[in-house]
Amino acid sequence: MALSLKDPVIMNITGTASNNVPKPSILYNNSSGTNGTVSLSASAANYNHMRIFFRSSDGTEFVSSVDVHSPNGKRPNLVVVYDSSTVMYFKAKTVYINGKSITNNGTGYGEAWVAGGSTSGRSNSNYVYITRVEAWNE
Amino acid sequence: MGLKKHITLPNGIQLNYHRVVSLHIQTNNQNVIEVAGYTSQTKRREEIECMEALANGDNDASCDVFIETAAYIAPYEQDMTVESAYGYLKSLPEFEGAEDVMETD
Repeated sequence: MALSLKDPVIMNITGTASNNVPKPSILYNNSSGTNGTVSLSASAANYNHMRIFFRSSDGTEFVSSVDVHSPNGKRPNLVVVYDSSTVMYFKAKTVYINGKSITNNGTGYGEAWVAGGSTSGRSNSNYVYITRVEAWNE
Repeated sequence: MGLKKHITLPNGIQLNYHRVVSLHIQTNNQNVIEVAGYTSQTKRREEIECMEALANGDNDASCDVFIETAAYIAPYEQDMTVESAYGYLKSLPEFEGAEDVMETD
């Protein structure tokens, strides 16, 4: 019998990959976050996947995240965009994952903005705050 | 160890407890002291308790601790320690009159 759009569809996912998703370890969890060094509860070297959650200085609801494979020693970019309707702000930093810490990669952080016409600019502001770090092996 | 000093940020947030998070000695160039400012030493304790719980496998542990981070450039000193970094900070106008406090207080 052919299904119509009105028919309910029950999808059986028992035994599929959804049951095999590894439970991550939480290595850092602070809803306010920090724009400085993050101390992890375990070494990044113990995991082959890491997810870093972060927010911008505009508030705890302006968030994003980045996934890093084989995280130890990597230097991922964290970028949050905020559009005020008249100006678009890009707040970014590069961090360094090393053992039990995530540090700012030197002064590799800043903010750039673009408004209408030719108005644009850049500052060396450190406006990205790491709020949570998860890691797992698969 | 940390420093007790009242500092008001431009946005009005009041910081009262400061600690050295890291010390970078850049050979023959300069020392960089990373300092985290907290609203209170109690909030720093909250952060420590969260870290300890996470380290013990409590994945539900969380905290809400405001941290303001700043980096202070000091003259190059090969033998600077975290303890002497606190001494350098207290020589700066920002930390004039700051009191030493222990993290276990």
